[in-house]
Amino acid sequence: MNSKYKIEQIVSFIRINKKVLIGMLTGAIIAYLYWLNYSIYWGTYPLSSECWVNCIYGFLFGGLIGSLLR
Amino acid sequence: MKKNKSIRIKTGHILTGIIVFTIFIYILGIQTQSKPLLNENENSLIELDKDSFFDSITLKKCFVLFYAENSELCDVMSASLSKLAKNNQGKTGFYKLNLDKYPEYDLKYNISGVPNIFIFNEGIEVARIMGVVPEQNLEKIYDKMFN
Repeated sequence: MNSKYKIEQIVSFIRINKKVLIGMLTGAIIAYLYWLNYSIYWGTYPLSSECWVNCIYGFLFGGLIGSLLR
Repeated sequence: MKKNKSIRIKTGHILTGIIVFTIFIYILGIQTQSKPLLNENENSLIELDKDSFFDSITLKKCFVLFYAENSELCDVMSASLSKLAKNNQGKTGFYKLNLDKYPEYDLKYNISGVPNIFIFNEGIEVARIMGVVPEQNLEKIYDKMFN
């Protein structure tokens, strides 16, 4: 009964934040591709050429665009 | 019956996340700048001069580090490139050139800052790596370019 409620909560969370989550995923993928082709060569700022930093920024900005489109 | 209370991710939450993450990266970046460096004997980059530069870059594919003296960031990149050189000896050339001694290369290759790594293929520049990048990035670039 408890596990069924948790699953319902997760599904409800995904349904309510669908656009934001899609934006986050898209942002992370685009950021990874950008890192692979461009950022990997640019170490002019601290940690600017790190894969995880670029992906998290992509994730957050993608989510920001998703939240604005709602 | 339990009411379904799901959190709605708002724009403010994400903006806060961006600001917090930026501050975190800034602090982490400052802390990770100082790294253990190689001794002069362990450095496997070949020092170039005006006479040997063109012959070296046209002979085979190579990495050339343009550096300045007394620069901690240049020492960090020199150490990273040395490690890459040790793992890939013979296949590719790994060189370094002191821009303080030969400033004419600054203008010739339009070098905006140091450290700056140029990748040459038969004397033609194919890519350049600016600033300080992690060793994993250098390995990935090497695999992408030469394997």
